[in-house]
Amino acid sequence: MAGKTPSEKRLHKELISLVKEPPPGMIVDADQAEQNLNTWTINMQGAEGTLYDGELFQLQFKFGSSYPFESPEVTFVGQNIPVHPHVYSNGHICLSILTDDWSPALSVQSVCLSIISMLSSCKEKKRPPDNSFYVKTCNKNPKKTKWWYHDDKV
Amino acid sequence: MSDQPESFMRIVIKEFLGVGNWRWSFTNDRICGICRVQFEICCPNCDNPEAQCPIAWGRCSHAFHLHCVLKWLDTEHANNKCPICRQNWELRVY
Amino acid sequence: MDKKSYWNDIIIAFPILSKDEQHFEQCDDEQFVVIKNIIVENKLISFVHGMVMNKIKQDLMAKVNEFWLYFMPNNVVELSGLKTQEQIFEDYIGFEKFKTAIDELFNLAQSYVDTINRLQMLFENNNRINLLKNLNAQICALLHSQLPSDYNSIIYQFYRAALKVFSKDDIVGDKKNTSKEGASCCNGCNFEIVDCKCDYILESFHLTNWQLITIGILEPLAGDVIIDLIHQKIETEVLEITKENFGEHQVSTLEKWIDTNVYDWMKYIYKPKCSTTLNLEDTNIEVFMKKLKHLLYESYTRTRIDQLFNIIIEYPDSEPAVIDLSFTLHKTNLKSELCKKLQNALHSRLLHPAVNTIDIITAYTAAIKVLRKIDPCGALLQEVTQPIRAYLRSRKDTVRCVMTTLTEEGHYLTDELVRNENVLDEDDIYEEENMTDWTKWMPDPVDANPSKSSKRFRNSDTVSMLVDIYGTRELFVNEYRALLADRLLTQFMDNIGDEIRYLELLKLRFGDSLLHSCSVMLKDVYDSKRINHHLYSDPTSNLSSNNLNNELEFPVRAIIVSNQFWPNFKDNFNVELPPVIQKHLDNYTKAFESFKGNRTLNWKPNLGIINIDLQLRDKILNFTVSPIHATIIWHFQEQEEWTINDLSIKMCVPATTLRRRIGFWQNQGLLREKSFDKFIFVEDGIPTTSLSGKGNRNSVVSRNSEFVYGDDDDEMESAVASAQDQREEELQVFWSYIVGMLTNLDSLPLDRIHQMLKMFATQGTGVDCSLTQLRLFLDEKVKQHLLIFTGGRYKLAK
Repeated sequence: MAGKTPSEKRLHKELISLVKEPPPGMIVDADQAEQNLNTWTINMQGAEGTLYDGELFQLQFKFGSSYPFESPEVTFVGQNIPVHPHVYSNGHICLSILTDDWSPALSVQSVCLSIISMLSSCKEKKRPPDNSFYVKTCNKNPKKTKWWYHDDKV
Repeated sequence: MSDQPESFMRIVIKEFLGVGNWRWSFTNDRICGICRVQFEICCPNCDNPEAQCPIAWGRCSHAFHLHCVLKWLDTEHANNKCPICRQNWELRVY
Repeated sequence: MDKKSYWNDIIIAFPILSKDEQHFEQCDDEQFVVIKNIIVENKLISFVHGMVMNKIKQDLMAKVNEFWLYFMPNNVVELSGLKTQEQIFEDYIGFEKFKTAIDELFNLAQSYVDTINRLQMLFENNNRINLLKNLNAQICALLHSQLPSDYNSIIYQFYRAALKVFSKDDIVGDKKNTSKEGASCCNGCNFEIVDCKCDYILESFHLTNWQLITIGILEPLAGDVIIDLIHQKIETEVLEITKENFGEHQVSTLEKWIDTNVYDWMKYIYKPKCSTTLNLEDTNIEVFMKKLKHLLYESYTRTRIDQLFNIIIEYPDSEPAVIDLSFTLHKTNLKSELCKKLQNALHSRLLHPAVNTIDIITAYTAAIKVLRKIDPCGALLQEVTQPIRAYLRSRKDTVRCVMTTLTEEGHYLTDELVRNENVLDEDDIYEEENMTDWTKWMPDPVDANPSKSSKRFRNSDTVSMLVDIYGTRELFVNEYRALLADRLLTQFMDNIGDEIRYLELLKLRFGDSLLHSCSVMLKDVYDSKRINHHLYSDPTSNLSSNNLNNELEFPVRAIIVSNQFWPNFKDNFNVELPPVIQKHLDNYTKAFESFKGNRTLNWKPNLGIINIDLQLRDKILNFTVSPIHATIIWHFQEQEEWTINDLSIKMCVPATTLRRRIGFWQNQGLLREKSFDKFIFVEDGIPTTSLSGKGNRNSVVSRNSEFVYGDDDDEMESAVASAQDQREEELQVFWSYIVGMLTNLDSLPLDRIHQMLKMFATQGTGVDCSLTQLRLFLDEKVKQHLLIFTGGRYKLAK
């Protein structure tokens, strides 16, 4: 344990509990995370009985040195970006707990569960209306975006 | 043997040397919701288990290492909310 | 003129050719010159030479049989079956025989010398032909052509007898002389002192050797025997001088003995004073002496190798022997023999169940020191001690014993622990050394086993070697933690100064971070003492003396632990203590709470100790026992009879545990099993002393203030789980991780599982799980049908 920063200590604990008791439909790439505790990739399955049933997504988490006091940077990456009114085609996600409503009591697991539930509650697969504009103009880091949160009921 | 008179014995306890562990009272949570470390162990920024790393209880009944919750309240997003229930954080004094 | 007409002349010159040589005198020189000229002119040289040599050969052939007759053993008795005295006598007879045989042979050879000399003159200036030498070669060849099978025994007897006389003043002889003071026999020849034949033997010996050299058959005939006897002599000398004596340097003494006594003897044989012919033997002797020295080293090394186990056990008293051995071992090629024999000795004498672990460890540390002296590069050490480590790994109490040894007062390893405080980062130092000092890099010795040895291992000190038995220092530190916890909790030490000192020593070795929890433990104990003191002295505390007025009151003191930093506690059942005790504990808890603000106490009622007086009709017995023991006897105060079952319910203690603890009171003669599982209090019972080998536990005297902590088995039960138990627990934790992984990822190869587990290993107590251990663990699960192993991958059985 010696030599780990407080944020790494907490990430380590989270990683272990994710591997030990993985929530359904989520697999963390533990090898990669172990190599570099500050970047994780999580493989996510679309929940059964939802529009995303059978689809596979990849979520990338990037943690800053003040995690968990600052939220992680969370984006979809890889070939398959879910088509969803809150998910831009560049992988950025419009979700309040990732910025304004972040709390240090949240964790990788709870963020993932929120995203799964966000996907699961979707009734129609479509991109956000401002997708093409946003994708052209946005900062690489979604946390730099000043989100105007979509209505959760979409 | 059974028909012998009843034996008489009295036990006097001279001293008890016991073993026990201490824990924080007033909370059922085992770990700090911020750093995820047991309360009986200090927060990740401290080194010594005792004394210097006290526990802070909010009026909302949530407990954290004092150091952890202070650090959270210091961030721009905190807005003086409890990390768990998002009610206004008020330190409860016993 | 044909050959025949010269025949008469030839016979005159070489009478040996006549049919009846006795009748012819050797002609004078003048006459010979005339005849010689005739022979030369008529080119008859080779004819005459052939005839003469042929004749001599025939003569010799007839005599050789006679010569060998002397070598027939005089009786059938096996020499080895004879007692020393008899053998010496036999040797003397053999001596005489050989002497006579050689004497005759010599005279025979001499009888041809004149003839040979004249024959030589025929060849005039031809230096290439040395007929005398040819004759000697001829004799030698003939002797060998009819060699009897056991001709050696007489030669042995001859040289043995002489050697005995010669070495009567040797080192060993000296000892025997003094021990046999006043004996009537001469130590050399074994004849009565008045009748001593020593001088005669030496004189004859001298002469015979000279004769052998003159004929040129000393080396061919007796060379092997002489060497062999000297070997034997050296061996007996080495054996005698080294016999169970490890405390003196002996190699130099032996070297001196070789240089003087043996050298003299060699000179005496090979360089008889009267001999003028053989100066070259000088250098031969020098070469020979070198061989003998080597032999001495080999013999010494072999002897010491056979004794090496004892030498190790007696170290450091045996230091001189160790130094000698390291010197001779490097002059010989016996390392692999040493390795094999020592390993055998270790197996038969050390590594079996009858030897205490602590003794094995002591021997192991001694072996480390000895082998390091003998072979500083460490390859030998690595190789030989490997089986000891393997064996120690199989013993459960090894780590505990090592830790006890390391922290034992005044033990030399404790000193070493202090001395070698800088080895903490030995791995890093090693790496650096490779980079900066590459010019000084030395290859491993050729006999180092490349598969097993690491330079670090071979260079590490004894403490590291002990720690390395298990491979990881983490395991050792864990065991130390368990040991420390045990000591702190069972002994309620008033003075933890020593423990703090040892902890500081261990920190120097293992680093602060590994021993952090131990520091916390000691701090807990220290703080507890302060708290206890405060609670009883602070007038506001409900424990202060103003409130202690009830007759039943007794002081409660506590060790208050920070749970997370102590090893897991065993037997986590909550004993239901007698209400009066519980009341006191609650009081203490209250006092603690009001002193410490937001903290409270969880008692561990199965830990701790109680001092009680048992007031019987006519006496008071005092015991110091565990709370469980006290509670058991407490209940018999209220009710005379209890069944195990009732008591188990009353106390919330499992029946098996209860029965073991009741055993203590049975041994004290205070409880009796009236009928199966039913116990009754007996006031005047007699302690059953026969049950246990520990006499004092049951003797009447020590019934006062007896301390019993755990159960009544031979070993005190420890309060905390041993490192072994914890290890199993950790493996169990690993198992739950593995199940988690495989549930999600379906199947994984071994190394991937290992990689993922490694990350958790640093989480808890820091115990590592090697790839091999993991494979064993997983294979065990496969056997239990919990896992399936297919295509190099493990998956969950469904």
